[in-house]
Amino acid sequence: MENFEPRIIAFVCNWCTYTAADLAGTSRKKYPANVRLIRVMCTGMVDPKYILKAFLEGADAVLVSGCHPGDCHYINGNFKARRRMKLLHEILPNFSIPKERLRLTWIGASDGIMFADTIDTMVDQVRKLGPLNEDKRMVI
Amino acid sequence: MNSYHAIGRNSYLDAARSFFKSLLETGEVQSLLVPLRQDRTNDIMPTLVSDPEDTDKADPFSPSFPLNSAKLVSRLTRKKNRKRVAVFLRPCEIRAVVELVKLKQADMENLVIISSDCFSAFPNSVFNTGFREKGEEFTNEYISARMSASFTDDYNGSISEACRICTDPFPGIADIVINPDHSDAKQVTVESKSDAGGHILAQMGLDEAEPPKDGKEKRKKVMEELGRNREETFQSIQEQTADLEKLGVFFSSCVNCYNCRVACPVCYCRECVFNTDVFDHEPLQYINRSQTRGSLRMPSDTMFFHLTRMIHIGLSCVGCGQCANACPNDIPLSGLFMSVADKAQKGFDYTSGGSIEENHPLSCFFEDELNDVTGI
Repeated sequence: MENFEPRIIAFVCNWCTYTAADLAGTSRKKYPANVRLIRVMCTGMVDPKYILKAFLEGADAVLVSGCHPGDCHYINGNFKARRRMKLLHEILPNFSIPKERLRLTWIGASDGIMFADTIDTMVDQVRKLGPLNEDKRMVI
Repeated sequence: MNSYHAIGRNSYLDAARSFFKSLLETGEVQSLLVPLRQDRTNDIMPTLVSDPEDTDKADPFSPSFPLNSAKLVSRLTRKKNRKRVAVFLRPCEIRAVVELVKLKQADMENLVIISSDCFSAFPNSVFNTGFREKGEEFTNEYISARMSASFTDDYNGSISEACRICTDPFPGIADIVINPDHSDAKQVTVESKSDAGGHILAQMGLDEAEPPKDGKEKRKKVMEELGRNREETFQSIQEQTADLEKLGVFFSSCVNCYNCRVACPVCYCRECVFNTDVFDHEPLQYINRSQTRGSLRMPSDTMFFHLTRMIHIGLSCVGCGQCANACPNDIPLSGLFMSVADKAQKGFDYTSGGSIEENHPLSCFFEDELNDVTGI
């Protein structure tokens, strides 16, 4: 438990948060290596199945991050993502996957520092929560 | 507004049958979908009747509930046509039709919905062993027993879990409601609930009747009882499935037959993603997953399937309990799905099957809303 390193899967939108992560990199801003980025074209294309799959295959937390309201490259993809996340937030806590393990954030392309800070905070929070599934023989 | 009529015959069923017969004779509807006793077997299946004489085997009040007819209504109405069809539905079936209309899978334009207060249903396994053979005598006996004891009779042990925790056994959206009479075992009361229903009843030349008096009190009592059962069941289900590990135990006898999905009235995709090649994993993938974890229960993706179904239909679940009815290994799915659906629907302040006008929560969005969902 002390050496627990959380595994976080992040679905980041091509136009904002992925660019922000790139900016964090080019400006030599460090953030924990616990996060695995998956670039998607828009948060609106993140199917809840992707998130469920991540949790069932061993992720301790999932981050979905895209453009601020009004900035979506596809006009309203992030609003649709928000409704889906709301639904997941209603359903997953029934099975001890609290909101802290599934986050939606808006991080614009110029917010490299904010991206690094977000990952920092999330890793801290998840580290405190501990691993999600320890039973490797669980029905998945 | 609402008009009330009474039909008296030798029994509840005979009275209901004479109503269906004269409904078809008016010519206002071309066909009627109604639960009907099949020749020789005594199975009660929804049947599309066009000849008025064929209504003599209709059995709308039986506790047999082999499938949710909303899917059949979708088949009958998914394309516009000139013929008008009447359907007899349980309240949960009406809710499912409403959801399907919102999901553009059914249409209400040429549909006349007839319903009654629901007397609860038995699981197939219970009805088919002992009650089916008793024939229509049993239906009359069952309704009398249920009504005289306000749903606290001995049959409570036989009814399905979903009915024990039903959210609303009284029809919300309907054109005509036909109910057995509390005070007289040989009479049904027919009520028009819409202009279309009133117009049809006017054609039938029925005797006028007084509105039933003690209805409201009895309804309140039934709803309270159901509410208590629901609370109890939800609590026990939540304890059984408190985390993913426990949920895995809950589903451990699931064989991925997907019968629950087929039986679900609001699971409407023509091709379910779980049947596509997305889930035809490469043989190597199974072995790799097993090597990573140490072992892999096969069939795999069981919990993934059920969680996905909760996401897909949680907002539309009408609590008919057909998922549990269809399960070959008797997993009590209805309690779990209804408890999760209850949370999901409350989160969006939405009631499935409540009204046609209300948008399905995932079919719309607003710019300024749900601000607590985002951020860390």
